[in-house]
Amino acid sequence: MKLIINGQPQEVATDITLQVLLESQRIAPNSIALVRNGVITPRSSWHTTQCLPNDHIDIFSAVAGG
Amino acid sequence: MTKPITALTSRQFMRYSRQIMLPHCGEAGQLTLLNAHAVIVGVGGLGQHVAQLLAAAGVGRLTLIDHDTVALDNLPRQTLYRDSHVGQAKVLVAARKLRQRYSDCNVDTVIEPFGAPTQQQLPRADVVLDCSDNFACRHALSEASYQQQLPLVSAAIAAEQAWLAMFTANDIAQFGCLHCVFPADTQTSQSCASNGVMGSAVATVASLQADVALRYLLGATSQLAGQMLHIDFGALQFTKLQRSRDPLCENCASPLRKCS
Ligand SMILES: [Zn+2]
Repeated sequence: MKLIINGQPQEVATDITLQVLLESQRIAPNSIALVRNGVITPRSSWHTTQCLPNDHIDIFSAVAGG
Repeated sequence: MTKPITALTSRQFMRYSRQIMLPHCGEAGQLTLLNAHAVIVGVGGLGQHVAQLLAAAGVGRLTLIDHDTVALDNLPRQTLYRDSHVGQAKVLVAARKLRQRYSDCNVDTVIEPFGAPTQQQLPRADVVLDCSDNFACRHALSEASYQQQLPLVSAAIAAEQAWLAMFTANDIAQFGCLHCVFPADTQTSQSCASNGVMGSAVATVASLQADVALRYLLGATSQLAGQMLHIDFGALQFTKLQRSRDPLCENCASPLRKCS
């Protein structure tokens, strides 16, 4: 199925969770915030949240500088 | 404790006239600012700009909390400091400068990192600004402000990425706290790119952070209710993201402990 990841269309396996998606992209889960269709999704629910076709997934790196 | 200010002097009326003209400020709003107390945690890139903007706007009391000293590589973005300040405690230099420039502003200083054993409690204030530079301090602030029910305006920047959010008790009940976005085990990415930053971008984020805090103090409608602003300076893209509460949050999902 197609997802829009950081603005770019990408083909990914169907029935994957946000957690599996991140693993497939080799992204360390504890250094990002994940936004699904404009909503920040809490990290505790990534392993249960299914990606749906045409979901917009935006991955932001966790910055803490000041 | 200073006595509340109940009327503007004619000089104050002139000085703040461009703010007083604004519908969300007015004379009553300016009095509110003069009687307001803001805590600024971190007076580095973000904090020293925020402190200048709040003091210049007439916020009557600032508490500056930071243990750091001025370093040479701070100077391109921390424009309150100059070469001769290198090695001096930032809060002391900042307090001296602010008192010289802004006679309406009283400045208190704490030369300790927030989150240290003796720095777990925030002073009773009207608003707290998280201008720190690490997640340990940000999480300590998120916990303390939640427990003490103090509004927190938090911002961060590294390289070309930044975010800004305001957390109030009401807002957290519905949309969660900082921990809901970045849980306690969050690590910043250690790439070289994330270590650099441009002073102009830092000043932009600090100005937005000060604006959110001033509007909050004035009782104006929040521009960011339930949201987090994400800024990508590379694309000059500003995106408002909806926050959502984590039902398993280690901070705000636990029952609220009332502090006496
Ligand atoms: Zn939370």
